[in-house]
Amino acid sequence: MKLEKLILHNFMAYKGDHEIDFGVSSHSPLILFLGENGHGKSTIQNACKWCLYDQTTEMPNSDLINRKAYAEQPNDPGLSMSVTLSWADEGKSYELFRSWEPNGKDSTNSHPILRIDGGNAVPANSVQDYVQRFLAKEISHFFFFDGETQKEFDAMATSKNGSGSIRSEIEKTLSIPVISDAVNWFKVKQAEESDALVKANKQNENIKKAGLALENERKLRNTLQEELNDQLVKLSEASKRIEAVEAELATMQESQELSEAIAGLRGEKTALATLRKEKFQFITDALSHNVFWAPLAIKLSAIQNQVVSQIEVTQKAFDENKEIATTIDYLHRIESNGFCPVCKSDHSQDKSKFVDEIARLRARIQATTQSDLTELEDKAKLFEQFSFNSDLYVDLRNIQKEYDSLGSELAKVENKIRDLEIKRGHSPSQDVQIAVSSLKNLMDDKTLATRNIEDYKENLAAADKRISKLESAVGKEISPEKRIAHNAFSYLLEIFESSKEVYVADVREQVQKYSSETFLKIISDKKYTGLRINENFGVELVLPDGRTDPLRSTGQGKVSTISLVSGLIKTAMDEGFILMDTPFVSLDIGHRAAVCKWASESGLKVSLFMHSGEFVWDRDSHYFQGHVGKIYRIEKIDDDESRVTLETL
Amino acid sequence: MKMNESVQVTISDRGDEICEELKRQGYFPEKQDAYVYAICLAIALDLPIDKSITTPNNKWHAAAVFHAPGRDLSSVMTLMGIPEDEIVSRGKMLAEAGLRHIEEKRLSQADLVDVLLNTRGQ
Amino acid sequence: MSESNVALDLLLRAVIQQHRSNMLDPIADKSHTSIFTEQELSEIVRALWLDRYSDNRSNFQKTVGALITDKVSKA
Repeated sequence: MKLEKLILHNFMAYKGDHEIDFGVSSHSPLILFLGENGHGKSTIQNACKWCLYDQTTEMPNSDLINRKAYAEQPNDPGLSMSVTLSWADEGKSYELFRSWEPNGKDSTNSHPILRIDGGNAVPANSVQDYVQRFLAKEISHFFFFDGETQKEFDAMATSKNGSGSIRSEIEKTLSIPVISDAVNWFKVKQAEESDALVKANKQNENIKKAGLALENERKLRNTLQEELNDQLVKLSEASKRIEAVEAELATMQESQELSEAIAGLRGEKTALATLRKEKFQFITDALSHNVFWAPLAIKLSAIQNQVVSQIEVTQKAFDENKEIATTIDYLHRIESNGFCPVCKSDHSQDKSKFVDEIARLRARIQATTQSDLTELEDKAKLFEQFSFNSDLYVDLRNIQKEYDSLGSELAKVENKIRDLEIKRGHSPSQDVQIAVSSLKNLMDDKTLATRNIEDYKENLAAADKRISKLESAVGKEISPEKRIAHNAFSYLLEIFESSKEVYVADVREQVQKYSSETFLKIISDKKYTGLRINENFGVELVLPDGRTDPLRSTGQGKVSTISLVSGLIKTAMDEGFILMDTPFVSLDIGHRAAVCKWASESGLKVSLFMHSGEFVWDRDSHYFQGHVGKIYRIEKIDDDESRVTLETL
Repeated sequence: MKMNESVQVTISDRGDEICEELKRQGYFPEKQDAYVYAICLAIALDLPIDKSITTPNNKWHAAAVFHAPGRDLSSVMTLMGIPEDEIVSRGKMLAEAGLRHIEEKRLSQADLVDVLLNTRGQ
Repeated sequence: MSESNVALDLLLRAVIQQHRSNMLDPIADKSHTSIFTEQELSEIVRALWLDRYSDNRSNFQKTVGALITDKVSKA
């Protein structure tokens, strides 16, 4: 932590704004604050503490505000007292502004505002955390080294056991309690994890039992499942057989219906066949008897017609011939007599006419004879011999058509019968009674299987529930993670516990080393080889032979204090600073010079607050060997006002 | 069996077999009825006859075939132009041809009633 | 060892050397000693150091908690 700037406003003796710049170079790291007693030197440290911790000298804020400023405008709402402290740490800059307004909304408390790198203010309730991080209040008086601190160190100097409070604060500065706190926290966490493991182990016993129970339950479940599967198979078989029997019954019914239809058709077929047979019989009878000539019917009919026609023609011709003959005979008589009996005329003179007529008539006589006629009549009689009647053939043909028609119908009926028979298929082997009885038995089997299945399913569900419970119980076996957490905390406890001792020894040794270095630079009595800081942080002087001497003088105490503080700061802080108030009290010139020399070479940012009794620039500045970076002169203007001024070197 | 083989069963024997079959099937009550019908059918269809085959007359119940009362086949044959002295001899051959034709049709599953009535030939 | 924060360096050294000693110890419980790496132990020490003036050391505890949780989750 590196102080940068301090601005006071109406704080204690400092009315208005007063700025102190702590910036110095590394080879001129010293800042001197020179002023007489009561002029306001201590106020600088007070201001730092008030800004950081809201507390200084146990005075209320109302007593801290500059009296003159207050008196000038006691009711001014804008009246305020403030201190701004700037510092840098690990590359970041911090500015803490604390103010108090006597006439403000909250005049009870001061108000801190902390900005980091010029950014927004951090939340008000976290300001203290930040401050503690940089410069904890408990160890602040190592850095703001004033009379109080000196008293405590003086007390410590005379006791081998050291001062309890200083020792505690030294340990805090070195973060020894922090390690103890960490160790305690690891213990607590380890204990928690141990408890969890113990519980888990107990759980493990239960888990083992649950595991056995789980195994048994799984076996039982498997058995239940097998039996359920059995029942399912039985159910399936019963269902299939029921289906088959029902189908059979349905088939039987259908078959019955088909059989009835077939019977009907067969009856029809029989009737048709009978009728057809009758027709057939009629036809065959006719063919065997009176219509044996059937194949020749048409031809015979034609012949008959022809014969009849010929007879007619012949008969006609014969009759005509007969008539002609009669006429000729008559004409002959006239020819011979010359007298016509009909007309009673004499035709003796025209006989030639009768001759011609007779010749003409003779020419008309057809060549037909009785035998021709007789032959035709005989032929016609032949038809009578076998009773030819073409109508019989026609009738026969009609009967044949009926016969054929019956044949077609019969064929259709036979086809229908065949189709129905195919549809009917094989008739069932068992009768309906047996099928119904079988069906009833199967239904009973099915009902029983269904009931059993429900029972098994219920039992399986219950078994599954039990198994699930047991599985989750078994699943809670101690997980490796629990052990890891326990082992981790155990190891951290172990390592920090053992490291703490080493650290305390090392850090004490380091403090001792730095302190001794400082001590030897300052102390004028060269018989001592260094400081020894014991386990209680008591300080002893080391003699060349290794023996130790207790602190005997205040001068030795002062030098030891400075050395110890120096050693502490160097050990515990990244960039240390120390504001020492009246550092030379109880020191002779030689030691003062040594302190100045140490301050110059310490590597710390040392600010010394001195009065003229301790230091006169012209007389004593050479002690600092040119390592003074700044001098601030603190002057009292009046009882209520001081000022701090940077002097030109 | 070829019709003109001399060592075969005589046609009338074959004719007898055919007639027996036709009788059995109910087409003709007696053989001679079948013969009569076969002759008419042969004349109607003008079936070719095998004149080399002869059967002794006494095997033919000529009267029963040609002159049965009420069934005068000879009159029919006369009307169809067959000389009277050839009625029996030609009748035998015609019967044979007619029976052969009927048998052929029967074996080819033809409707015999149709064949007998010669519905297609007329 | 840097002089900038000597105490922190001393603490780191103490912890790491103790850890190394444990690692080399043949009878040490390896399930313990192998949990943390040197880097992780350093991280814990630094977190503790940064939190040394806080009231509840919550950041330090969170750092340790996060490291252990990570190991548990990877187990």
